Amino acid sequence: MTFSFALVLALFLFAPGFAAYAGLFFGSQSKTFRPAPPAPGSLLSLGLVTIGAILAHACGAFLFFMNDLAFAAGLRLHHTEATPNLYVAMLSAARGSAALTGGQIFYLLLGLVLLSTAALVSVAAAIRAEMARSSYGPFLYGWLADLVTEAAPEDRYVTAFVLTDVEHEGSFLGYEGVLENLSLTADKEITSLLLSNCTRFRIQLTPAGLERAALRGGSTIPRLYIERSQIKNIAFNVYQLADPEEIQAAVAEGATPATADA
Amino acid sequence: MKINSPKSLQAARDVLREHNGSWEEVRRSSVRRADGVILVPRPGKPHGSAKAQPASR
Repeated sequence: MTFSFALVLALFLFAPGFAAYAGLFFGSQSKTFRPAPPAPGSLLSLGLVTIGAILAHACGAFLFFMNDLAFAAGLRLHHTEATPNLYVAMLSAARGSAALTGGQIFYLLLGLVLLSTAALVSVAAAIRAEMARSSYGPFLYGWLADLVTEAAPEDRYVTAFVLTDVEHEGSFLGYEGVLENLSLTADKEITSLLLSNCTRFRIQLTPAGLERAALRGGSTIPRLYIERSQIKNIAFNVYQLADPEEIQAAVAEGATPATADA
Repeated sequence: MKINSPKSLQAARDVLREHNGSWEEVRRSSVRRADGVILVPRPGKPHGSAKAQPASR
């Protein structure tokens, strides 16, 4: 396998885009926005990397432009004998009009590293900014955006009822547990679930309505992995830790027993 | 993707432990607000059967 110089150059130029992509999907340490990245070869990934690279290079070129303006104005903030503008250096080298010196190569690579670092840090900071979440939440999470937003505070957790295709005489087996992990496709379809502290229940449709009953006798399952092929449907519950006064206030405002429709 | 943080997971485990490992019991001491969020007593706080009023319609 051989790499052409053009490919290497293209990868270098795309480096800020890859950094922005990493900042978008891996930059957040909070649970609130930690989406699964799309498939590496997807159009969405390519688009995000390209747009990230273009924006980062536009910002970089703007800084060099401002530097040139400052130089022209006599401020001489930062101008050296060798052309410090990495874009000018790259374009000159690509045209073959001038060979890059050792200093220029170092400057070029340093510029790309700084630009990539800035792209990663700024995108990760933007992801963490609460104000911007409502705008890109649906884009990153699709139909899960509301659930992710609701589950954001640290004093909340999400559980899931999972109805499986395991059936016996009209009753279906289900699991209820804390949602540990959720795997999604690029189209935001669930491919698998990981539940913890699981209990089992059975559900049956009777003339009187839907009957759900916990299965006795089994211990709590510490961790349970369920694949899409076994899932009939899923319901999510968001729990919030509350003081007794808060619960009383909620009751006064019309909150209903959680057992009523769970 | 993860939805629950480590702190949230720990809170969920603590709540479940206080309710004898039964989600049914957790719900019995909880109330559901109009926005769908279920309020559950913090671990260590007193809890019992939730005496909620029916939602006004």
